[in-house]
Amino acid sequence: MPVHPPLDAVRTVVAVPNTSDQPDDALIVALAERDLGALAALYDRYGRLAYALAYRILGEGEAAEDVVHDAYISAWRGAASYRRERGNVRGWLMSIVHHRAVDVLRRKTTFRPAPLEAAAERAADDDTAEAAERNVEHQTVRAALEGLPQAQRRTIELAYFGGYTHVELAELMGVPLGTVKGRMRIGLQKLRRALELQGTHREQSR
Amino acid sequence: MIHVTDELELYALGALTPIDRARVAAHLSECPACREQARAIDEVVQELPETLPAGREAPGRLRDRILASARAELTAVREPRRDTAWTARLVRPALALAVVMWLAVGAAAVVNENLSLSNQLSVVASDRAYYESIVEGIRQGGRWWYMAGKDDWTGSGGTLIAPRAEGRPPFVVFHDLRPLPQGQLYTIWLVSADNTWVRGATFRPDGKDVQAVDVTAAIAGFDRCAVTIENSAWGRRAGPVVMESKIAPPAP
Repeated sequence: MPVHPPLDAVRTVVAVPNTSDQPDDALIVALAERDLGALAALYDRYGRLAYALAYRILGEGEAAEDVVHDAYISAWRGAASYRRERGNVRGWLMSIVHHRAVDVLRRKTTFRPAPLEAAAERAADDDTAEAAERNVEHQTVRAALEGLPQAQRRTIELAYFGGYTHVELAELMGVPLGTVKGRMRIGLQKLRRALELQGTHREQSR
Repeated sequence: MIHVTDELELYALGALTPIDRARVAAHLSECPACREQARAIDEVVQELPETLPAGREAPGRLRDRILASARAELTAVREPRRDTAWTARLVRPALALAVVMWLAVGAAAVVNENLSLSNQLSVVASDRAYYESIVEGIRQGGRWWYMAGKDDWTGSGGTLIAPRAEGRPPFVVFHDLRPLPQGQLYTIWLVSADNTWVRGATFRPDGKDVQAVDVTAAIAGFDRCAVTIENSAWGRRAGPVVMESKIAPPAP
């Protein structure tokens, strides 16, 4: 017995309400009211970023697809629990994707921690796969991250994209736990300052 | 109160173990000062996906798949039922998910060719009976309240159902429960107006998309239901609240 309706039927349903130009907050309200058009618009807006994040963490297309699917369905079911004061919609969606992807990674990787070199290599591969098109904000954040000292950058990337706990990182990098925490703290502080500075410059140049 | 400022970067980056993560989340739910700091750190961390190359395209089918799943839930809740005023109001995730899973398990019998036929049929029959029992429990009618997951449990949820049928205990149908580390337990509490917490059930997630859990206490006299993460199957509530709902008194 088929679970899903024909895809043409889905397209017909989502084509009715045009929500593509709604602000994110309005989309979440519509999502909580079970509006499929809002779900489609949220996917069109952030689906690519969500997939890129899940793929970066899991390194595998099928698993990344499952994670993004599950994350969007979670958002669909849990839109009423979204709180604007705790962050924007993009951040909320990305944190759902991140949690789920890291959960999957940790369940899959029973022999963690994986060799540091492998994770670092994967990061390096992605670094060289420069995309031709990237928007200004994208470049800003990436430039800020690249501006960090390598140890801070690597600690942040291995934690966030590699799914490593701080205990695993301390062991892998051969440094005390306090050093791992310190690198994260200083790295994120610098990142914040860089983003604020570049944001200010952008505002001034408008 | 022991603040968690030292761990907020680890929390935001997802670098804590599940136990520490739950502990920090519990503190954040009660401490506005730490919460404000956490929010500021989150703002930076949530920019990290923007550093990824834009070249990786999601498969075209993913959008269709997501919309088809969401639409299947809508379709399931709109199906006509044997109707009473109560069942007409049961248009929520519990029934929807149970019906979807019930159908999905049926569909699995057709598409899964990897298992031997007899094993496959017994697994399918068992799962199907499980979801069918949930659907039937809900269809008997009664009152219900949906509990949405909070913080890290966003996307999880549960519907507390007080069946109308005599002798049937209240129960909660959960969906998308996050797995818990060894030694930790989900606990359902009924909370009275004077803030007395009565343990209604203690359980481990079974890994299914939908899980029904009976509540051992009657809900009369309580005005809130909550789910926490605990380290012990007995004693007072100590862990963080991950979902909760008010329990409205019955209509006059």
